[in-house]
Amino acid sequence: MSVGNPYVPKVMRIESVVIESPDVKTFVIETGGNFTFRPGQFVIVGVPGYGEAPFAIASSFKERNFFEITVRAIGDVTKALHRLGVGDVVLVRGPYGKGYPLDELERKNLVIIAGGTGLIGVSSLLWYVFEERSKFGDVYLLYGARTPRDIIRKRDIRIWGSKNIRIYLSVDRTDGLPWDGHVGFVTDFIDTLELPIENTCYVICGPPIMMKVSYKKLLGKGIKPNAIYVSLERHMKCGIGKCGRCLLSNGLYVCKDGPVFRCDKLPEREIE
Amino acid sequence: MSIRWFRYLGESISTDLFNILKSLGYEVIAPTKMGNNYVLRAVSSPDEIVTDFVRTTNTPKHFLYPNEVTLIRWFRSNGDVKVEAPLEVKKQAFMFIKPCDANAIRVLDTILLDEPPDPIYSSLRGNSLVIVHDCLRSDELCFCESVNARVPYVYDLWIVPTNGDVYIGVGSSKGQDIINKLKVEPITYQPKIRELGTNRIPKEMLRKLGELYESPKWREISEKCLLCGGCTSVCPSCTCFEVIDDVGTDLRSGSRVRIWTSCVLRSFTLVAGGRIIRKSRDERFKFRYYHKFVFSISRYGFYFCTGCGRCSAQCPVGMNVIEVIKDVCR
Repeated sequence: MSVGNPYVPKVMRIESVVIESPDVKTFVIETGGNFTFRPGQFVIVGVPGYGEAPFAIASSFKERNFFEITVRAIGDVTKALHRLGVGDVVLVRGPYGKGYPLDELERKNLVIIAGGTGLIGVSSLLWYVFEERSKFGDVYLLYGARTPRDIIRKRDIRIWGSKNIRIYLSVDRTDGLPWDGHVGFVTDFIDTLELPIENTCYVICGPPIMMKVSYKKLLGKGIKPNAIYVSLERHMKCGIGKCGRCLLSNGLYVCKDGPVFRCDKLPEREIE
Repeated sequence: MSIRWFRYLGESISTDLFNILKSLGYEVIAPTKMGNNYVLRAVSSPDEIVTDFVRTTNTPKHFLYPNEVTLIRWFRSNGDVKVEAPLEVKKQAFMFIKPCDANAIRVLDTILLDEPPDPIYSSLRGNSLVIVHDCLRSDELCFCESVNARVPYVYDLWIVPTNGDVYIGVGSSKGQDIINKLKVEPITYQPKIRELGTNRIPKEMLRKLGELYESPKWREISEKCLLCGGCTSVCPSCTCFEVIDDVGTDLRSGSRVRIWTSCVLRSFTLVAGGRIIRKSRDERFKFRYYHKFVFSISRYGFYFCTGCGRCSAQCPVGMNVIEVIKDVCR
């Protein structure tokens, strides 16, 4: 009966929960074995009685039996998710979106700039780079969080680093915790590092101000908007271009045309 | 698009059509007069149907894409959750809607049947029949001729009464099936579609609108707007929706319900953590204009506004689409 009805979610179970930081958890969700997605796509996950919300898939495209979402407890649905544990049921729709234009990114250097939970938006791309490392030139991950405590998906970062992905971490403040990375903003790296410019794509995902500043700084270095990609977060109710909530001020939908956009295809006001 | 035309030879087109529609099992939804208003509703006799009016308060959207529709129901039992999707099947014939409102159905089709199609709309629309009656009366709020919505692009039959004759255009095979039951003769000429004098927004202004998104005039013009959402609630082509989860009194079952919402509301672009994408009045005010007049053209090649004038008629502070666009472009 529900075949072909895009509003009908699949019933899936939580396989495990990982505590990432004081307010962020990763949920590993069992798919039953035939789950496929493209890097950059997202799922809409619901808790019965609380609603649904879109989440970037943070795990590798190679995994068929499970996928991971990393969730900050910030709204009704995410707080309800945080109360769930192993074996509990979630309602899943998707995957949705176009994801990363891999054909445009491959055979180039890649500089990925992520802020806070924005790391989740680029995780599936980093997994792709990790699996297909020879398809890319120099790859950088510049990642900043509020404090050392707020660095999420630490084990992934370590794994990615093992495949010659140059990783630079920053925190806004150390809160007295041991820290040997940069203290300041992740965008500082754009000024201080010798980042590649020729034949290079830049990918930005993070809080609005961080995206805006990163974009401006990259333009200031002479990088063209058509070499810069952003992964956008907008409100969504359907994921399939009907509810109108994620419609951008140029007529593109974040859900079906994005969530990743090349900046020459976006008005600057939407790069946030 | 070549339309096949017929001349009606019977006594009363409304009686004949009503009887055919009823014999085919349709619920006939038609414009009627209720007090001082004209309202689309299910009729039980052709005598209830009116044709000489400006606009109905409700629109085909209320029947094809109703407010408050259940998307799914869920039931919890023994740690498991079952999900089901109710799908209502209804045969609805819209008899004698105006060309502008038929064109609003075209907008609904474009948004809701785009891949992947909305199953609820798809079912209601697939079982529907659209019979357009040509427009007999317009007022100063109408501007269908400015947005290329004077003639219908989506219909099964198009009734055009002229000089005592009634002509019928056929727009689909379903329409042809009905024509086959009517007393008609085919004609080789096209009846004259009269001009309504509603070309109230110069076309070059609408073309210019795209470049004026950041114009400071929007701020000035939107000052008066209450951001109440009345305009979008009466709009025959607005489809934006909100979804709410309802929990049953047993706390073990519930439903997920779709309700209409509006892009002028503050909550419309609220994202995680309380951030609002379009914070200011003017950003929210102008967004509807851009969706109707600019994004629609760039993505689909036609306007998502059909010039019906309902939003202007509805507005509690008297904002008028025609004047707003002229003011911005001036």
